Amino acid sequence: VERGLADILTLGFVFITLVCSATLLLLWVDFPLRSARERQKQLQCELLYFALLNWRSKNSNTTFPQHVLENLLGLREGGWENFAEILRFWISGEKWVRVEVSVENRSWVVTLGNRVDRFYRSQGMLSLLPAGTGGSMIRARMEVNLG
Amino acid sequence: LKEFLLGLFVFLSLVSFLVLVAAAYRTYRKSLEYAKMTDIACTLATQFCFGRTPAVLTLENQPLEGVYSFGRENFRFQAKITMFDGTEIGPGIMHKGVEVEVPALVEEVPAKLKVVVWKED
Repeated sequence: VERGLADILTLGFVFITLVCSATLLLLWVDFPLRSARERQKQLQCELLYFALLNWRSKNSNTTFPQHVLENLLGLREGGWENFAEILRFWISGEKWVRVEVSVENRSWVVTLGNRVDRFYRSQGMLSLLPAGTGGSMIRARMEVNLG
Repeated sequence: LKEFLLGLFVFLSLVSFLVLVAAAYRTYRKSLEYAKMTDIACTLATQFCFGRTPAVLTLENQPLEGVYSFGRENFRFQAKITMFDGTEIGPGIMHKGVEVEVPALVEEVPAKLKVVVWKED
């Protein structure tokens, strides 16, 4: 009986070692590539944030966050109607993107795709000078999430 | 016979484990190389996009095709800019390799910068 038990234990140990090592190896082999892909996504998120920050429409001199802020404060109506289309062009192939511009208790949000658990965030406080506010600076927050 | 079968099983398990380690190491090396190429593509995209103004492409003094030396290794790259209206700037035919695509601006126009990196033989 003891001999049979020892054989079964040996077989079981070898089998478990094989399964565990195979799992660990499979998790480990593409680790560098996964990390590089994450760094790539982080760069994409940063660049999307800066692209939105510096994006101005051809006809006016206002930047995108300034235009959104003016819309939120009721100083301007409409503009950037094709924003979702441009955002889709910029992030083609990505799963989820969310852009938010907020000031005090008002916010403007655009979301494309379904929310994912792993995402990157770029955000910043902006000092903007919207037209029609008598030259007073307004602090707004812009946030870009990319997953 | 039972002992022989047990020994054979352990031996075959050991052999398959070694084969598994060898295959995993090979894949790991490949993954490391792809990761290196992805990082080089990201570095090049950063060079293009972080000029005077972040995310606004600076195309002066920036070759759209060339060689990037990393230690003793040489990697070739190509960059292509696609504007929102479909206009393309860069090489007509893109080589196959590791691709990185980032959002950018060309003056006020939304554009995408694609960088392809591959290893020189």
